[in-house]
Amino acid sequence: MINVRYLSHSFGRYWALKNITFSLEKGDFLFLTGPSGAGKTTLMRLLHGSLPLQRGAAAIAGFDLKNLAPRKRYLLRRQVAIVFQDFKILPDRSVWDNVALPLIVRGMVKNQVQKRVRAVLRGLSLDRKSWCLCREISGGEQQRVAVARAVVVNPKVLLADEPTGNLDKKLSVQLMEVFRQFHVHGTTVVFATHNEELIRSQSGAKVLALKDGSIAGANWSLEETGV
Amino acid sequence: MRVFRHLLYQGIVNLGRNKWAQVFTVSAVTFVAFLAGLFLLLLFNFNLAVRSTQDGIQYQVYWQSGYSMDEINSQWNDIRTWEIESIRTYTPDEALQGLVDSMSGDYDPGHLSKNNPLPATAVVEFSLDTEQGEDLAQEILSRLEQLSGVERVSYNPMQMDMARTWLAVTSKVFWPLIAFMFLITGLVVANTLKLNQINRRDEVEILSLVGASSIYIKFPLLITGALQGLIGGVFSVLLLKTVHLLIKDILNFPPIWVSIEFLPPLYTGIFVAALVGVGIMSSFLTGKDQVRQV
Repeated sequence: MINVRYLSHSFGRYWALKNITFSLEKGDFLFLTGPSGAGKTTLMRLLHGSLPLQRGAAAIAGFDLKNLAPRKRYLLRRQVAIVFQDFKILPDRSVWDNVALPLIVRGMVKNQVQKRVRAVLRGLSLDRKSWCLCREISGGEQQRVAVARAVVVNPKVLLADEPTGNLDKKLSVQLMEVFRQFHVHGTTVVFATHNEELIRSQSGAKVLALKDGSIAGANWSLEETGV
Repeated sequence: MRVFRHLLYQGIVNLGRNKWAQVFTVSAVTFVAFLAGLFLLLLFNFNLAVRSTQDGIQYQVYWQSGYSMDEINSQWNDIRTWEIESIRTYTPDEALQGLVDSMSGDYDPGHLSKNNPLPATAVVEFSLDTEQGEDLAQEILSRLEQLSGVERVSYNPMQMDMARTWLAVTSKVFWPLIAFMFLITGLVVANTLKLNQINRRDEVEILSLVGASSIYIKFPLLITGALQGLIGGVFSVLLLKTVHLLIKDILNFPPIWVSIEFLPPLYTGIFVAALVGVGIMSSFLTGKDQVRQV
């Protein structure tokens, strides 16, 4: 599902990622961990097609990122959803509108949009806030809106960059449960976090630690995955 | 079709977002377009006034006295087929009658009617336009002078000079000035709309991140840009019409007697359409930049 080989990326003279190599199968759950500046967000953005590949190769959900034309990038993003640290939601639209957005851009009919959005909002305890404007809700709620928008499309791969960063412990656990449910249904999840408690709570998950742009450790043998 | 309707709707709804930004943008477009329209109105009326000097340019043709009237009649019929507006002809007898009529009434031309010294004459009238211009005037003059029996051709050199000068002004100043004015207006309006749409960069980024295609993102932007251009254009025409009503008779007094005309519907249509076009173009370029960046 995800195959990354010798991936390096620089911003000017600063190398944010150096020779990253790993692969994940369908349904894997990967915790991407490491201190700030380790390269987690850069790796997420590369996998989502938000940054161009400079060195190395990467394939995700059947898309070869090296040869993916910019005008075809939307096809990748229909299979690979992402939750950003800074939410990236539309503050002047309602919770409902934000969550429905990815379904509407796919041209889904109204009934199905309503059914799916309602289910996801209920699962994330946002159903009572459906018609609130996003700028009027709390940071934690905005974070959950961002998660709801990502999961509502049932993506093949779900990338989450510190999605629990703004949530208290109870909501973090609730959010983890949402990710776990998607994982159980076969979605491959890449979850970047500092939170070791969360990592311990997800038994059987793979963990890849980054430090200064390089792989500092992994809890599975990278060679075994065919890389 | 459902998606198209949705995108069209989004383009219209976008106008309602950031209301004050939209009000300022449309106001800026309106006032810039109004200034351009005012300039166009002045040029249009100046053109009308000067063009009136181009109409009715006359050559007066004198045939030799005693030249065969059969031959002259044949030449007159030939001249009527040329690119002229009109020809007024006078046989020697008609010329004499005209002379008598212009006298006080007690003049007896008896001694002249038996041996009329007046020649046959014709007044050939035409107008100059920018396409044929001076060539036509010269061609008609030389054709008249080459007719057999023609003694001389006279004309008002001042009128010809005025017409020639205006032709030069039209080709070298008038149209370049209008083109330049449209360019400046286009740049100002395009930049105003672009600044307005940069405010929507976050929305474009988010749409791109959730899997919207390039067309899906750009189409509502184009609709919004077109509507901003249309609204600004219509408001500026309304403002221009109001100002026209206030100033249309400002020069309509002796000895000037000039009534200021409003732009013809074709000009007005082109003016508004150009603003819509600028709106679409600037939205397209802004959208293209923003989509490329995410």
